[in-house]
Amino acid sequence: MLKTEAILFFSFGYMGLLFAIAYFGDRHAKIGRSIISNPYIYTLSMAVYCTAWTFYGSVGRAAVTGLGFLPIYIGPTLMAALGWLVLRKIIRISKIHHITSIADFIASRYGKSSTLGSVVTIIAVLGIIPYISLQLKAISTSFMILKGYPLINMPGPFAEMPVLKDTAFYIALILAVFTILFGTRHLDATERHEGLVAAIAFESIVKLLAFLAVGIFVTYGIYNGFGDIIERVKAIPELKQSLTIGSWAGSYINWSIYIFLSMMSILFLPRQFQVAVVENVNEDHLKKAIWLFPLYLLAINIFVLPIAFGGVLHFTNGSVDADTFVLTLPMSHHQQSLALLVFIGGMSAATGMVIVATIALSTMICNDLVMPVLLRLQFINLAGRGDLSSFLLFIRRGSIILVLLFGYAYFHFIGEYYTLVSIGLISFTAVAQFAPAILGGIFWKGGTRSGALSGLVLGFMVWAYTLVFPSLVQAGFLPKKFVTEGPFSLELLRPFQLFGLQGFDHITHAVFWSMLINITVFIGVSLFSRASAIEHTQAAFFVDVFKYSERYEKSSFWRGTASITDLTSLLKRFLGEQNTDKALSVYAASQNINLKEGLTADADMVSYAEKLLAGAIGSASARVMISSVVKEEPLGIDEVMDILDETRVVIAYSHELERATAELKAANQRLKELDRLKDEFI
Amino acid sequence: MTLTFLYYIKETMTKDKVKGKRLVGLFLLGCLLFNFPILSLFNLNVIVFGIPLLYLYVFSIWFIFIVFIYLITRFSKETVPQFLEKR
Repeated sequence: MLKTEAILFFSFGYMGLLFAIAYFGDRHAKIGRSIISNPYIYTLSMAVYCTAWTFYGSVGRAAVTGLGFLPIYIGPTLMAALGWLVLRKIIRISKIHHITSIADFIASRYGKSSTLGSVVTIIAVLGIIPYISLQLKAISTSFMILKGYPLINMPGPFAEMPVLKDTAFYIALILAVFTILFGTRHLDATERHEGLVAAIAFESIVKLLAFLAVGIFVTYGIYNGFGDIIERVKAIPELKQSLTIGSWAGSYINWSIYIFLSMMSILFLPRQFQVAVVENVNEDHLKKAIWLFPLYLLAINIFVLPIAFGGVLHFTNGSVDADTFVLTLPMSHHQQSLALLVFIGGMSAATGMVIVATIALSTMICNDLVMPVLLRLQFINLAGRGDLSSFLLFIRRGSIILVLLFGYAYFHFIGEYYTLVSIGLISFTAVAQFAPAILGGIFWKGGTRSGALSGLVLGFMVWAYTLVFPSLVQAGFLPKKFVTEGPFSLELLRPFQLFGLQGFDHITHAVFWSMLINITVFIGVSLFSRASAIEHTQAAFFVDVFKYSERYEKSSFWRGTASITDLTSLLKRFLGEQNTDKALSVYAASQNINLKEGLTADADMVSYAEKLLAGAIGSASARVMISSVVKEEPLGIDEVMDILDETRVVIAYSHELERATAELKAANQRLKELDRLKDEFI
Repeated sequence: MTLTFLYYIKETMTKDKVKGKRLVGLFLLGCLLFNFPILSLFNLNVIVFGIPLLYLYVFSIWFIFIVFIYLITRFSKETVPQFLEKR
C-alpha cells in the first residue's frame, strides 16, 4: 500500500535534490569552475527532448501503431549528422550577436525587427501550450494511478472535475513556483543558467535509468525475453499487424513527415534552442554531442516495443490506457518500489521539459513581446526610470505563471480527448513553422523581413485552422459541423480535408498545407520585396558568420558616438549596478582604455553596449534603447557595400591559395616524374 | 617557405570541409535508408532471430549511423575563435 503522503514525500524529496544540484552548479559557475563545461553534461541536457511523451506516450503509441513511435527519434538522429553544419552555425551566430531565444534569433536576422520578434513569440507560446499540457496530464494521471496502488483505476474525466479539486491544477502551480526559483533568481545578460543545466542533465539520467529498469523488468521479469514476447504476439492476429508499419502508401508518407517534423523540432523547439544554443559553453562540445545524443535516444527506445506488447498481452480487456503501461505493468505485478521509481522517472521527464520550456518562453515574452510595447508607450517613459532589472524579473515570473495556467487550461478542456503523442505532435507542427525563416535565414541572403513575416503568419494560421480549431470542436467550443461539413457548409474548407486533400492523418495533412504555404510565401515575398540596409547587413553576418566571426567583435555598426555617462546609466537600468560595472571593466581592460578619462564612447563601445543590452532585453529592444542615447546616423547602403567588399577580398585570397596549391601539386608531380625517370634510368 | 605555409592552411581548411561533406553525405544516405522505398523492403511480417525484421533493420541502421558520425568526427581539433571560448 502506497500512501499519498509517501508519494508526495518522494516527489518533493526529489525536487529538493534537484535544487541542491542546481545550487551546487550555480556556486561552481560563480567561482569559475563550471561543472557543466563538458560534452557529456551538454548531451544530457539536450536529452530534455525526451519528455513524458517519450516516457509514457511512446509505449501508448507503439501499442496502437507498432513502430509508429520511432520516427520522432530517427529525425533527431539524422539531424545530428547535419548538426555540425546547422547547429554549429546557429550557436556561432547566437554567441556573436548575444542572442538568447529563438524569437530574438529570427528578429535579429531580419533587421532586428520587433514585429517579427513578437510574432515568433506568440507562435511559440501558443504552439508550446499543448506540449506543456501533455506533461501536466502525464504527471497528474500517473500520480492518481499510483495513489490507488495496488489497484489500477483510470482517472478521469477531467473536464467535469472542479478546478480546485484537480491534482493537475496544483501540479501546474507547484511547477510554476519551481521554475521561478530555478530560472529567474537573478537577471543575467547572457541568459545562462548553469545550475539549471546541471539539474536537467541529472533528470536525463534518472528518466533513462527508470525506463530501462521497467523495460528489463517487463522483458525478462514478466516474460522470458524479447523472443518470448514476439512469439506470443504472433499468436494474436490483430497484434501481428503492428510488427510492420502498414503497407498502404499513406503510412510511408506519415512516417517520412514525422521524421521531418522531429528534425525541425530538435533544432527549433524553444527548450532545445535554450539548452543546445543558449546554454552551450563551448562549440567544441557539439562534436561529441552529435553522436552521444542519438545514442541516448537509441537507448531510451529499445524497450518501448516490449513494454507496449507486454501491456497489450497483459491487460487483455482494454480497460487500461496504453499511455500508462509503463506504470501499470509493474503495479499489476506488485512491484511497489519499481512503480515508485517509474513515477519519479516520469516526473523528471515531464518537469525537465516544463521548466526549460517555460524559462525559454518567459525570456521571449519579456524581451520580444512586452519590452517593445512598453518602450513604444511614451507616457510610461520606461527609458527614464531607475533600476529596471527587478521589473524585468517581475515580467518573467508573471509570464511563467501565465504559461503554466494556459497549459493547465488546455489540459482541462481539451487534453483528455487525445493521447500524449497526438498532443505533442500538434506542438511539433507549430514549431516547424520557424524552419523556413531560420534555415532560409542562415543559408540564403535573399530572405527578407516581409517574406519571413508573411510566411510565418500564414503558416501559423493554417496550423491553427487544421489542428487547433478541430480540437476546440472536440471540447465542445465549436459545433461538430465545423469538422464534418466545413465552416458555413463549405465542403472544400473542412479542416481535416482542406481543399479535398484526403488519405493522410491529421498531422501529416496539417504539416503538408502549412509548410507548403509557409515556404512558398517566404520565398515568393522575399523575391518580390526589397531588403533595407540593416537587413542586408544582418543577412551577410548570419549567412557568412564563419568569415566574419573575428571581425564582428571589433567592427562597429554605429557611426555615432554617445557619452559614457548616458551609456552606463542605460546599462545599469537594465542589468543592475554590479553587472554593468563588471562588464564595462572587462571591456576597458581588453581595450586598454580608461573609462573615467574619456567622456564620449566611441562606436566600438556603443556596439559592445548594444550587445550587452541585447542579452538582457533582446536585440530589437536593445537597438531602440541604444539609439535613444546615441546620435546615430543609420548605416547607409555604402557601408553595407563595404562589408560585402570584405567578402570579395576573402574570396580573392582563397583563390590565391588555390592557385598556390595547384603550383605545389604541379611541382610535386614533376618531382614524382623525375623520380620515376631516375628509377627507369638506373 | 611561404608556399608550404599556404599549403598547410589550405590543407587544414579542406580537412574541415571534407568532414562537413562527409556528414552531409551520411545524412543523405540516412534519409534514404530510413524512408520509402528502401524501408518497404524490410516492412515484412518476418521474424529473424526472434526479432521482427523491420525492428531489427531500423535499430541496426540507427546504431551504424551513430557509429559513422563518431568515426567522422573523431579526429581533428576545431579552431574556435579565442574570444568565443571565454563566454
